[in-house]
Amino acid sequence: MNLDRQQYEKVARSLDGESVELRADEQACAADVRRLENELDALFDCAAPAASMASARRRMLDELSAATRRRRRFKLAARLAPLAAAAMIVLALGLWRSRPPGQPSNTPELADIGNAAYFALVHQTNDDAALTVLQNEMEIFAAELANSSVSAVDLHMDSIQDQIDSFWLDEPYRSL
Amino acid sequence: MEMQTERLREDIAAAQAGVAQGFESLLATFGPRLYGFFLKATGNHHDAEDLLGEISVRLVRSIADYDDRGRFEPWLFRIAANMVRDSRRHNRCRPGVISLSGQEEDGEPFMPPAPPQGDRLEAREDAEKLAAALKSLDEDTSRMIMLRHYGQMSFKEIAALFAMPLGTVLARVHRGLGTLRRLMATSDES
Repeated sequence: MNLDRQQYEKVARSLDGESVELRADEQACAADVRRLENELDALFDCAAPAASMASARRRMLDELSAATRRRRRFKLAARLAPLAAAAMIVLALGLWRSRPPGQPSNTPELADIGNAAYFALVHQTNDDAALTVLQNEMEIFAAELANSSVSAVDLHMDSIQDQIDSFWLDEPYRSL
Repeated sequence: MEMQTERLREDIAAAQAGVAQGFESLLATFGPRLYGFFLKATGNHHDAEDLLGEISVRLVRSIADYDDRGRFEPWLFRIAANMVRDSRRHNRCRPGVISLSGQEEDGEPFMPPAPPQGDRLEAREDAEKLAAALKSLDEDTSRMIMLRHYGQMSFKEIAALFAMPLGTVLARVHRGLGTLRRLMATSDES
């Protein structure tokens, strides 16, 4: 049975279920392929060991749990991004307002607030791009503080801290 | 048949929604055939088991990419065929490990499989003969034949996977099946 490539193509389309009119030699080829496949089918069958199936199931469920956790973190990060930005604005505004010129510097306390804010953000978002921006902002901020003279008395640290806390503990955040 | 398709559609939808039951059902349906495919393709139980675990993980990662308009089996076995190809490439680059301590690579002591009896012995001999016969074919033809059986893939789908003309695929499968049958018959006689 010598068929050319076009004929084999016709036979293949017929075996795939298309309605194709085959010549006698093409029909013989289709029948031969069917027969050979049927004959060998039983030899191909083999049972999967229960241990292999159980191991695959375990790996699959582990991956599913990990994927669910990743999705949850991503959603959280996406929803926290505006809150993080708002907290940074409050922090910057608070510091700007409470910086009377010519007073002694209170850099350590300010740096603590900055660190706390940054710490909170790092633990609430896994968005690398957002963290890079925030880290850059904090570095600029720290450099400005190092060069400034800020009064410890007029900083109203508690008030600033309260404002930041109120953003983190606000309803949208708590509902996450 | 229609009910089975409907059931499969429900399992896929559940899996795409992240429901564990959907994935478990898909694994129960296709796991044995995937294992068979991997076993025949690698000729090694450990590799077959490892690939079955790996494809279960990939199923979770890529089920969202599955388009319901296509057929699920060819999609799944396309991933399986690519994994076998990658695994073969990887093994060719990796130097062989010979254990001198009577232990396998994972540290477990090597235990020879229990000797099969009766029908099981015959079935095992047939499976070994088939594995040897498949090895005598070229890799592509061997994989095409396995994808026909385990993946229930059409010739058109196989042609797309191997980027070959439809007629060429059937010619190779036909020739390969003939060779397999001849080799199996020869080994039966001897």
